[in-house]
Amino acid sequence: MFGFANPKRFEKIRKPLFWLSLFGFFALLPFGLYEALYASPPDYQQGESVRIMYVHVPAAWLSLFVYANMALAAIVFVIWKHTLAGLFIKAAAPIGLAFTIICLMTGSLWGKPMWNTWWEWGDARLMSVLILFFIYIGIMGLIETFEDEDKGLFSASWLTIVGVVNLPIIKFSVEWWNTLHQPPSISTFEKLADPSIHIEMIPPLFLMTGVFFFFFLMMALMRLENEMLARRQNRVMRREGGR
Amino acid sequence: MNEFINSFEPYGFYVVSSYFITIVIFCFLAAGTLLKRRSLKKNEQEEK
Repeated sequence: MFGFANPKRFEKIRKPLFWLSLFGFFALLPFGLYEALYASPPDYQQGESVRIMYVHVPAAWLSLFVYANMALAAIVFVIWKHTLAGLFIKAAAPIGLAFTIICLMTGSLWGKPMWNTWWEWGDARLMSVLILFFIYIGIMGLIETFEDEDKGLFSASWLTIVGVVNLPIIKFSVEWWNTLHQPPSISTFEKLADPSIHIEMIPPLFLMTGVFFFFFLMMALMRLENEMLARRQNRVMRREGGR
Repeated sequence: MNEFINSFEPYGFYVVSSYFITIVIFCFLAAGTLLKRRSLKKNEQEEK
């Protein structure tokens, strides 16, 4: 695994992975949208509004997934100083932020017809996701604050590691506190076998999660390549400036 | 306002807006990434 921390070795798997993610994204997208907008039934209580779930839930899952991956990369960067791990944090943070924004905005658009409010300040799930949004912004800001990119990445790695404490809070907030946000419907394998949502709502949910996952993979690989290119160019510029 | 919201039937204003926002954010992220890549590749060519 650590072999791929070498940028040259990583370059070898980057291209096939990118094409796989591109194919996966465009292959799943029509099926996901067909299932989400047409084939799946409307909810007996929520009606058509339930279709917001097929973008809201995958965005929420991916915002946590991206952060968990960034946290792993941050640990690797802090301990072993692997450049690629540091650059992954820089590349993935805007993608995680985008998923968090989608989650917050679609949640708000779902909340208005269901709860009759766009936002509820006292709700633990909403607030913990809002904190995740600010952590993502903090990480991105911290990287850009330092002139020496490695120092920025090091500080951002520590913030990422500290911010991990927010992940279980987000996950269990609906169980620990009595919130406006509903409890999880399919969070465990046990619940997956007997979900509290209609069984026909499961395929579009997982198809759309696949679409979101492949989009993340595609963007992360492209952004990682961008960061590697930018770093190489900066190094050349600095070398030429020093002459 | 109600007329505007009703014009999005059968899905409704909130569903359409959710998918629209998702598509816009995806496009924004992809465009930003591609534009940066293009400018970096251009710089690399100029260096050569």
